[in-house]
Amino acid sequence: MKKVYARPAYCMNCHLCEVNCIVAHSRSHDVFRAYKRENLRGTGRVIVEEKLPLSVAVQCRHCTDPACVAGCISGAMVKDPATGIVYCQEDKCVGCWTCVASCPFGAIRPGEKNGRPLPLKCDLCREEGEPACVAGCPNRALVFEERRAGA
Amino acid sequence: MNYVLIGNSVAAVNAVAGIREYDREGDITIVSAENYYAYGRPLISYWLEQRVHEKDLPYRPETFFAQNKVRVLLGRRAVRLDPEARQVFLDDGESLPYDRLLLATGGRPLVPPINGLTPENHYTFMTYDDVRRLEKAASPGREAVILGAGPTGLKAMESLVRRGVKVTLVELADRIWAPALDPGAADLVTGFLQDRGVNIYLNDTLEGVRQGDNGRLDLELKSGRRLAADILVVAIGVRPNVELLQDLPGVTINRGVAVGPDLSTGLPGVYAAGDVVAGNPPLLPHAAIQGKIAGRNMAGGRETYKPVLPYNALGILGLHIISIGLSAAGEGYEILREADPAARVYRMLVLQDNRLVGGLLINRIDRAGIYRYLIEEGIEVTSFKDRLLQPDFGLLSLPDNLWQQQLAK
Repeated sequence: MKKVYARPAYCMNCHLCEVNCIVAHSRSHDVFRAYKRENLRGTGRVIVEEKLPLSVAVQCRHCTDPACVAGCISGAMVKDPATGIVYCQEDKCVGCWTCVASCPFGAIRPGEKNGRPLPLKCDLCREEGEPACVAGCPNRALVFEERRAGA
Repeated sequence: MNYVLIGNSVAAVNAVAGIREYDREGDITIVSAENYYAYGRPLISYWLEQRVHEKDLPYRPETFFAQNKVRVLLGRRAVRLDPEARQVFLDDGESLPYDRLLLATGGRPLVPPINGLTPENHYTFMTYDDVRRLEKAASPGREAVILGAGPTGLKAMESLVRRGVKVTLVELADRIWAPALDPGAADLVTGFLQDRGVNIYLNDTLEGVRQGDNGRLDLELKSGRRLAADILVVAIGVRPNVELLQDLPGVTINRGVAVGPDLSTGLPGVYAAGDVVAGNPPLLPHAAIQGKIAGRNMAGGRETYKPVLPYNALGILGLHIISIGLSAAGEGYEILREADPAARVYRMLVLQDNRLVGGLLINRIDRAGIYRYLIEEGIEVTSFKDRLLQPDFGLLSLPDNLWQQQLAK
């Protein structure tokens, strides 16, 4: 399946992927409103890790046998059999955070929206087409492509 | 191919998915002792405190069973297995022939023989029916005693407290949830609960139950202490439901059913997955993974189950705990620890021979899965040990080859 791959040599630590991710997952799809009205700061589903001068964007790898899906106590976390995308049906999540303990990449963070638990994880912008982090990356440090498994 | 799955919880549902990866056409029948389609059992505490409603209990949408062409027999029990004839008999006399059978019967609450304890005067905390019964009794202002302060007792405590019930926990060990919490963490959680009005008695257990004249229970503890209560919940552990395979030649029962690496039981075509399996911790992720693998193998796959260490994520009254592996270990291990009592934060890593073997995180749980990955893979951490508890710990804290390999997946 097509996934987002990071190319750390091209990453300049601008964190625009986080911003674009937040906007793509906002109600308004507007950067100002997302931050100032919807209060979505810090809710990116991609994490830019830094060990300067190195930086790299980390996000869900959409595993073949996802530990987060196996661990989900409510059945909220699923892997779409058609697309392979691992995503959370947010209204079913109870915030136990077994997914946080399950993910071998640390790619799911515990979050909250309107008093409801919200696992912050990449869903490949499944309702949008090309993932927003990739579309907005100014230096192609993130690419959305099909690679051979394990390559 | 004719598949019969005994049990209708997480292991069975994942087995359906596993079977269908290999076999789109074979007949699948699920025999469910409970009258409900599969639901996430841990959701019962959320239901009791009305954070989850009945419509959100199902583990998979009802369409899952139709889409996967599964016949579900609700409210029926398998009572006898004839491995020679490859038939399983149900409580109403019906017999089901099978080519492949999955034993996914789970476990049931362990209820010890206690003087005066009857099914009517206590509750267990495992099924939807358990909490439906408990709900009728759990009104604000009433008093409950919970025997056992493990994860089940703690979740029962949380939901009862949220309903306004006054709760006392009675625990035989010298601290709450002793298999997962080391003494420091147990102290922190105990203090947190006491601040919220929960009574906790340690090193003690229940020895006698009497029904008082006023309809309340008079509970006698081993220490001699007496407690009055309206509600008694017994949550001291689970016991695998192995009856169907008991005394059959070729099967080994060691509390649970012994299985080979492919999750076969030794009887032709018979597999087992989940809480019923010997040596398997009675935890949901393990049941899901085993169910999937058993299903694949029943349908022609050749997959091995690599035992997954116990791990648990538990929220109690707003406190979030993640325990992985030997999270309560102390003596004889190298311990890295960071605690911020004011913020109720506690983070402890357990090492042996420079490898992580356990982790315990309270209230700062970000990136917890990376610790679990290091534990599961047995990765040597000498070169980055000093970074393990740093606030910015992440994939980049690992050696280059490791994070590169992880991000290439």
